[in-house]
Amino acid sequence: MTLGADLTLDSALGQNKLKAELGTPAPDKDDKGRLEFFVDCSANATPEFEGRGGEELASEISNMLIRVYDCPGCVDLQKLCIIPKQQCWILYIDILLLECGGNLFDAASVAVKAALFDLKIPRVTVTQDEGHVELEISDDPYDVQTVDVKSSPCIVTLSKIGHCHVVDASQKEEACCLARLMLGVSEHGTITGMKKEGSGSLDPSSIDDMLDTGKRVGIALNKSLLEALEEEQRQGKKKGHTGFLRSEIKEIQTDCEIVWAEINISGSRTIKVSLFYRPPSNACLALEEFQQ
Amino acid sequence: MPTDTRRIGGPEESFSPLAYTLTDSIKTLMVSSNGIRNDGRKCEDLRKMFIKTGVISQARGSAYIEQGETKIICSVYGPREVVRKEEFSMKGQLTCEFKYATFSCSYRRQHQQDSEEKDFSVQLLEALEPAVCLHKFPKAQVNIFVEVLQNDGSALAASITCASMALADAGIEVYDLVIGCSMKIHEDKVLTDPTINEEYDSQNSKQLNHGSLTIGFMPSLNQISAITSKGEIQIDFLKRAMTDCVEACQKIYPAMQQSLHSSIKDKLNASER
Repeated sequence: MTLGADLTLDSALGQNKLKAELGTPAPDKDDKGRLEFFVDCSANATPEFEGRGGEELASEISNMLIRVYDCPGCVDLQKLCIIPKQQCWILYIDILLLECGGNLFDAASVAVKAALFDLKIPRVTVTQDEGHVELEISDDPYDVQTVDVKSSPCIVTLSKIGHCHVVDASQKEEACCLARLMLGVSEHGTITGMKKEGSGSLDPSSIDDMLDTGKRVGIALNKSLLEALEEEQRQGKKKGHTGFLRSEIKEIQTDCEIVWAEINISGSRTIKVSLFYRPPSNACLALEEFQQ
Repeated sequence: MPTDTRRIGGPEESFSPLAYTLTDSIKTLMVSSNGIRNDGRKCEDLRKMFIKTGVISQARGSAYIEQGETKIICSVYGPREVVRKEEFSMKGQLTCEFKYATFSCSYRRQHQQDSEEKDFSVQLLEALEPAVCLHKFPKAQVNIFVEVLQNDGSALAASITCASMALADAGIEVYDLVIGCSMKIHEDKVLTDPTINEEYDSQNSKQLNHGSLTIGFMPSLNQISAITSKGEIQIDFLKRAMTDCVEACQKIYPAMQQSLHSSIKDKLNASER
């Protein structure tokens, strides 16, 4: 089963897919399921990612995500366990970077939280029969369990530029920043993971200031993200597409075999693309229809 | 996870017996009511430390550190020419490789770097980079190799200290020494220089205010070059732990100076003879 969350954070674009699979728990954590993070940097984002170019950044992002999710309060992993020591759910979180517009870590963490919110795992019933254990996965698509993401963290990156620090830095701002502090902030403002990045160093008192800003921004980010997610859940399937990729336009409908797609790019005009099939038999009729 | 095909591995599905023997009871009582830790230290006490430079004759510079039972050796090679031409830069480059020896931990480590070791390599690099005068060796790179011989906690902190001593021993120009220090946050207590039993473990920790903090500190510039934390911690505790870390680093600084001083004396004596 696959569920996805598309994300546009200004121009940092992330596509996030989540897959749940049954597996054996790790021997040292035998009563818990686990999360596995994989990040793939598409060469579409920047030519530097071509071949193995993006690997370093990808491992940095996944390490940071592992770090901020590595605390018992973040996600209730015990709920993902089916039979201790034998069966548990493993959530594979695949993050695909489509475009770089700065602040990748924050965007990735928001995408992960949104995808976890969206996740529906089918209910599993365990029946024991003469020491033989049988698992049955529910056929009903609505008989599902969800993951509580209320307390899972978002990453807030604070970039030090000159004597100030900024959040949500653009690519240009990142280029002139020497040191960054990345914080995993939960909804209560506790820090679940911290890391300094970049070639500069920081004054202890400026770290104090950055922590305070990070806490404030993190609480606000968590709150508005959860509100947006709940709003989206309420609207359900009826919601209009607002993302980068758009599938079909319903308004333009004719009798001929034609498919329209609309592409929204933030900051520029929308592009409408169509695919038209002309049947070899009646060329004129179809073309007339196309002109309409 | 790619494995080395030339080595004979164990069975595909095999687990260390340690995963089944370690019980929670060892870790629950970390500090007694009168503030004494399991190894007899007070909360703010560092472990006994031994530092020696110039331990590897082939390397440009090297250092060995013991911090309690944690033993780390580090060597520095270069500055040497950058092999790959496309990585041309007017600034010098620094590379770090952090490795646990296969026998260094309670369970066996693999020969290839795992993700934790790669993460530590990056953190070590970021701790040292602000301190090194990279513009002094353009188009060249300096390689730092850190090997943990025995891990009894605070390995990253000790390796930051060790690597900066090795850089100093190699005569690479630096703005300042970098001192690493670790803290464990345990409820309302902050434990300096934790051992492996005291280190943060997401499995055996309760919800809030259990975590660890590691910093790299440059004492004469009063700057923090690296800071990382794990576990869910309230901001006030984090700030307190940070101040404690800086204080502990100030205590380590004279020991490093003394060690460098005596190593230079030895070198001078040797050249006179």
